Amino acid sequence: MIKIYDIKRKYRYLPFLLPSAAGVAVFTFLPFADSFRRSFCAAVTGDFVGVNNYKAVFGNEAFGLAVKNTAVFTAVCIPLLIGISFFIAYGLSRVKHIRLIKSVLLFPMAVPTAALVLIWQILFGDSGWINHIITSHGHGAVSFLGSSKAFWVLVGSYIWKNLGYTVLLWLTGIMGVSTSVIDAAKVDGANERQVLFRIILPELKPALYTITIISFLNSFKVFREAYLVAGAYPHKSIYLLQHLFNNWFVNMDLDKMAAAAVVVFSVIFAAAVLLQRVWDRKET
Amino acid sequence: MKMIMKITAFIAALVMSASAVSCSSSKPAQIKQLSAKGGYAEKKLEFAYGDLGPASEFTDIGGKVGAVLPYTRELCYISKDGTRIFRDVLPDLDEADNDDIATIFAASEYGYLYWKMNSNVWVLSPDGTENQVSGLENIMYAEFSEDGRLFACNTNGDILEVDISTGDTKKITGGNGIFSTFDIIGSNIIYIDDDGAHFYDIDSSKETEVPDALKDFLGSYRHERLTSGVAVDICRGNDDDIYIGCSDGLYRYVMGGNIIEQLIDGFVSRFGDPSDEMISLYCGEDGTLYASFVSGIYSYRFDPELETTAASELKIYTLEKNNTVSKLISGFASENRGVKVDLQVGMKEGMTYSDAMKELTTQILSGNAPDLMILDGLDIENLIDKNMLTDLSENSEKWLPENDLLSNVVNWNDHDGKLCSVACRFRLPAVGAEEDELKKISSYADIADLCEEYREKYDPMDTIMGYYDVNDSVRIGLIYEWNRLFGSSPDKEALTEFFDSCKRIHDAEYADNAEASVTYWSPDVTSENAFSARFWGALGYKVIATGAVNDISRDMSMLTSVDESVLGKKLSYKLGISEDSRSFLPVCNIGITQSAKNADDAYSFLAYALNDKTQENGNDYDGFPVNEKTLKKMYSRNRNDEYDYTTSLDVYGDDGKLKDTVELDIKSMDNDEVKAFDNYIKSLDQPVYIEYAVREIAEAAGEKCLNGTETAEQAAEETVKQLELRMKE
Repeated sequence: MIKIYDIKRKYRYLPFLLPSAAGVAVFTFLPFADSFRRSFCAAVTGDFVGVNNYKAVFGNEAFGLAVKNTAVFTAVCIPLLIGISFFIAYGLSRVKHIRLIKSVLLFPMAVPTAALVLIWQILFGDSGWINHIITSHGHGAVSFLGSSKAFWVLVGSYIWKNLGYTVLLWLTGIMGVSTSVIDAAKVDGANERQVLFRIILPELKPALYTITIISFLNSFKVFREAYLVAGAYPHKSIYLLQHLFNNWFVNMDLDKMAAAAVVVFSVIFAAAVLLQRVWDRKET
Repeated sequence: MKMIMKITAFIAALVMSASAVSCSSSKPAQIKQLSAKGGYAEKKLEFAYGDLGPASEFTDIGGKVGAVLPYTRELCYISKDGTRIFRDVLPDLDEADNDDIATIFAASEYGYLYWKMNSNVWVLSPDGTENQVSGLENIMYAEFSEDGRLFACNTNGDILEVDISTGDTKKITGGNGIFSTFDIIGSNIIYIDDDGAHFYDIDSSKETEVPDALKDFLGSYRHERLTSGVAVDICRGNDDDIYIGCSDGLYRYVMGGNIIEQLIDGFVSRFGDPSDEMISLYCGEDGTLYASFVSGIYSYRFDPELETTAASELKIYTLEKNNTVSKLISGFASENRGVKVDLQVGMKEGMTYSDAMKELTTQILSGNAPDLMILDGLDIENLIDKNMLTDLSENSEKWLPENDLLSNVVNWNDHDGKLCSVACRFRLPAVGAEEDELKKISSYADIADLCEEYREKYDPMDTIMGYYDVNDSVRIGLIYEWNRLFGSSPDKEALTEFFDSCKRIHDAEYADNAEASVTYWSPDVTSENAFSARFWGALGYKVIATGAVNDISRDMSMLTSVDESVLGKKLSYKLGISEDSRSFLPVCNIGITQSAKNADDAYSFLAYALNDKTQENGNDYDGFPVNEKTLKKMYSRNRNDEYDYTTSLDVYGDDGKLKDTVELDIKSMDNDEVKAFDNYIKSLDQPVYIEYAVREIAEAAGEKCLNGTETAEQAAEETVKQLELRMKE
C-alpha cells in the first residue's frame, strides 16, 4: 500500500507534463520526423533518393554561404550581447530604484518587427536620415542595406532588440547573489573588482548558460528583420540560413530543405550538448 | 466603494444585454445556392447582326419588348416564341434625324433620353420635340418609371427627375459617390452608391428601408469593389419578386423575405464572362428570363432535368488572374456543365509571389496539386526539374486539334522531345516611330537615344511614350531585352546598359511632367501590351510607340493602315526591335501536372483552349491565336469591309501645336500584308518567357535606378548578385 502511494507520489507530475509533452511531440517531433523522412525522398514525387539530397546540400554554394554568415553572425553577436548586457546589468544593479527601470528594458521586445524595420529603413535607407546627414555634408551616400555594412546594421538591430531582455536576465542573476556573502568579503577587505570576479561572476554561471542558449536561439529570429529590410535575396553578407530555407520553400526544393534542416538540427543539438557537458565539467 | 461597484456592474449588465438584444434582432441574409438538379438553360437568341453593341435597357414599346440600338434607331425585340430577335425601326426616333446618337440611356413609349456625340444629353418627347437636358452632363444611368416619369443619375451623385417635354431637371435626392446600379421597380428607385444599397420612393419622395437581405447582398456590389463598369441590373418578376443580374450570376429575391436564391452561376454562364458586359434584365410573362449583353440577348428557361451537379472537378492554377484565363474558364465551364472548374489564383488579395508559391508548395505536398496549370510567370524550368509536368506529346490525340497549329510558337517549350507546356496565344514586341527614326532603332538603348532627342527638340510638355506607371520603362524594356539580359547567366554589362536606357527614357518621359499627360490607355490591358494604344497616339503626336502587339483585327489593321498622305508624316512600325528579331511572347502557357487526378478533363480543357472556335473568340488583348484555321479566318476578313472603319484624329506638328484634324481609314491587312505577316509569325524562333520572380528582382533594382538612389551600374550589380544567389540555391 505504501509502495503504491510512493509510486503515485513519484509520478504525480505526469498529468501536468503530458499536455505540453503531447504538444511538443505533435507539433515539433512528428514534423521533424517527417522532415527526416523527406530528406531521403524527392520533393514532389516522393521517390526514395538515398543520400542524394544531403550530397546536394553539401555541394550547394548558397548553403555554404548561409552557414558561414549565420555562424559569423552568431559568433559576433552573442559575445557582444552577453558582454554589453552584463556591464549594463552590473551598473544598473547598483542603482537604487532598479525596479522602475526593469519594465523599460523590455520595451524593445514589445516593438513589432514591422515597426522596427520601418525605423531601420528610415535611418539606414538609401535616402534615409543618416544618408541625408552624410550627403548634406558633401559626402556621397552610403548604401547601408545594399553593401557589406548591412551585416553591422543587422548586428545592431539584434543587439538593440535583445539587450534589454538580456540585461534583465543578468540583473535577476546578480540580484540573486547573496548580499551577506558580498558583505562578508568586503569585511575581509575585498575590493569591488575582487567582489565582481571572485564572488558575483562565479555565482552567475547558471545564468550565463541560460543567456547563451536564449541569445543563440534569438539570433535565428533576426531573419525577420533581414527579410523585411532586404527581401529574399539580400546583400550576401546578411544572407542567412533562413533566407535559404525560405527560398527553397518558394522554389519547391523541399527535399534539400529537409536535408538541410536535419543537418542544422544535428549541429545545433550537438553544440547544445557539448555546451552542457563543458558546463557540467566546470561545475564539478 | 460598494455602491460604485454596484453601479458599475449594473451598467455593464445593461451594456451586455443591449448587445445581446441587438444581435438577436438582425438576421443575417442567406444566399440559397443552386440545387443539384434543375436549373436555367442559357440560349443565345438568333440575331442577324453580330453583336448587340451599345443598346438601351429592355423596354416595352407597342407591346414589343427589346432594346433600342442608337445607330440604326431600331428596336431589337424578342420574338413571341422567345427564340430570336427581330428589328423594327422606331419612326419617332428615326424622324428626329438623330444621326449622332451614341448611347440611349432610357427608352419607352413616353420618350427617349440619349447622349449625342460631343453635344450632351437630349430628351425626345412622344410628340417629337427634342430638348437638351441640363444638369446631366455626367450622366450614368436613366430609367422611366411605370407611370412615365423619367429619372436619371450622374457621376456627381445626384438623382434627378427629367421633364420629358422641356428637358429641365430637378434634383430629388443625392447619393454618395459613384452609382453602380440604378433601376426603378414599382415606385422605388433602387440604387447602389458608396454607402451601399438604397430604396427611394418616388411617390412619397422619401428614402425607404432596404430589406436586410438586399442591403448586404447589393451592398457588396459597390462601385469601389467592382472591376468592370456595369455592375448589377435589377428587374421585376411576376410574383412580387425581383431578379438581380451581376457578374456572379442571376439571383431572385421575394420581397419581404430573407433569402436570396441563386438561379444561375456566373462562372458557367454569360454573366461571368469578363469579355462581355451585361446591359439589362427582363422577366417574360411565362417566367423566362432574358438578359441583354453587348454580345447579344440570351434567354434563360427553367429546365427541371438540367444537371447542375458536377460529375468531376478540374483544378486549375494560375499565378495571376486575367481576362484571358477567366474567359477560357467560363467558356469551358459553360460547355462542360458536368465539370466543376475550381480556379486557384496564386497572387490573390494582395499576396506576393513568394506567398503564392509557398501556398502552391503546401498544396502539392498535401496531395492537392492542381490538375492543370496556367504557367505564365512561373519558373517552368524548375517545375520540369521537379518532374511536376506531364509530357503532353504522349497524349497529343487528346488535345491536338484536327487543323494545324503554329508549332514554332505552341511547342516553344520542347525539352528534347518532351513537351511540358503549350502556348495558346502569343504577342509580338514591336516599335513604332517615324520611318527615318525607326531605322535607327535596333536596341532599347537606341530608343532611349531617340527619346532624349525628342525631349530636347520638341514640346517638353508632351509625353514621349504615353507611359502609365513610373516603372514602365523597365517593364516594357524587358520584353525587348529579356533574352539578352537573362538568356544564359545574368550579364552585368548588358544590365548596366539596360538600366541606363530605362533611366534615360524615364527621365525624358517625366521631364517637366509629374505624370504622363497623354495617356493612351485602356483598363483591359497591361502597360507592356499596349503597343497599339501608343501607336494610336503616334498617329497624331510625336510619340515613339513601344510594347507588344496583340491582335489582327484591331492592332495589325491599324498598323498597316497608316497613310502618309493623310497624316502628313511617314509613320512606320517593326515587329521585334531589330531587323533579324524573331521574338515572341508566349501567352497562356498550359501544362498538366503529373499528379493530376482529373487528367481527362485537363486534356479536354487544353483541347478547348486550342480549338479554332475558342481561339477566334478571344479577348482583344489576349494575344494572337495559334490555330492556323483561326488565323486564316481572320486574314480573310479583308474580303469585305465589315471590319473596316474610319476614324477622326487630331494631328499635331513637331512643335506640339494642332496641325490638322484628319479622317483615317482603318482597313484589314491586304493580301500582301497578310502574306508578309504570316511568313513572319511562322519564322518566330525566339521565345521571350518572362519569369515573375526574375522580373520582380530586375524591377526592384530598376526602380532604385529610376528614382536616383542607385546608378545603373549599382542596379545592375544588385540584380546580378541576387540572380547569382538564386542560381546558387
